[in-house]
Amino acid sequence: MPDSTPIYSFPYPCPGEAVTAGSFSALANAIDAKLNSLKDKEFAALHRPIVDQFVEDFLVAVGVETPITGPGSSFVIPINGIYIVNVKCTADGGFNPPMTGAHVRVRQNAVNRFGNMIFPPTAGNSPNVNAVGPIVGTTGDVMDVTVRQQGAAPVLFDLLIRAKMIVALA
Amino acid sequence: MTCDTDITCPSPENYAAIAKALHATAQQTEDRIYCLESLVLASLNRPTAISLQNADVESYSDGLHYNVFSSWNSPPYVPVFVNSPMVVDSDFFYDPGMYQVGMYVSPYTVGAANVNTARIVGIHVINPVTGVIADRIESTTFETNVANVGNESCVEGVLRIEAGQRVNFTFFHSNTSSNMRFNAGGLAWITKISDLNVTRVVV
Repeated sequence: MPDSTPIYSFPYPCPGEAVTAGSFSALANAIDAKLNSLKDKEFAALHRPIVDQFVEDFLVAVGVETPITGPGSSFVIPINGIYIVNVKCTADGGFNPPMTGAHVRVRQNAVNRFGNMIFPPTAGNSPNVNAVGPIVGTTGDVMDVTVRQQGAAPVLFDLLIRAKMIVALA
Repeated sequence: MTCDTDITCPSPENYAAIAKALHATAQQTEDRIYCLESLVLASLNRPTAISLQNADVESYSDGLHYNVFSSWNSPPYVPVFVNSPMVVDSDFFYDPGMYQVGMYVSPYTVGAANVNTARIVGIHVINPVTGVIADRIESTTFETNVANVGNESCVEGVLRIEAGQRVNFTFFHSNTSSNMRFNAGGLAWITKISDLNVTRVVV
């Protein structure tokens, strides 16, 4: 009765057992299959899921926590893993009309996970509000972003979403 | 870490004991592949730890630097994810390397909010004996005093950690009229990018 190795179960004939061509092919095929699965893991290590999306000119009303919608505004976790998610929200065209505060929040299945805020100057440049954080993601989880601004009038925002998987989970 | 990939071939004096030679080949192959698989899995999954603040945290006075997330495994901080060999608390010495680190908290005033006062979240690498800060990242935001706007503070960056150094996650504010608390949901996280000394292959 053939035996097998303890970790990967590579088969080998026992002492006193007839050694046939089949003994060699069984061992060779088992090793081949394991090396193929190792190649898949190597591929996964070199090609981790990455997200890079941009939404332009999204209008955010005053004083309303606004989910950003439309193409590129959200993404679905492709495989189970830990992801680092980075969002950058830019007030398009400057703070004119002026804002007295703004924040961005990253959500996982509509639950807030992390965010950041800004207390902008009353005129001039287009400041960014950036937020970076980890997500323990399950395949199919929906990631999206909400923005809130307090000012004199609605403001147009651009949104950049980047995410990368750093740990694969079973 | 390196792996030996040599497999011993049967020689003429082994031909009478082919079964035993095949057993040796199978076992050797398993040992070699196990080593290679360990290397691949190590490159696929960075040493990473994430801690969650799962309850409101008590008051912080103005003008003082607080060490928050001092123990990632004691309430109100609970480990969300830790893969070997990462263990994080105030007594932990990290393996030397380059790390991507970050923190998110949701501070709010217990009483009156002073507009335009600072909140600073920081991550410091320190020498625990001298207290000297060897590396740091910080982010400053300012109180808006607008309801429901601006309860988020976030910082992220890459830090160099050398042997014997610790990492502190810190908070500071200048809201003189009131202490501040953190809403539940804060996060601290750290993930290793590389060792400090990486062999460079020049082709």
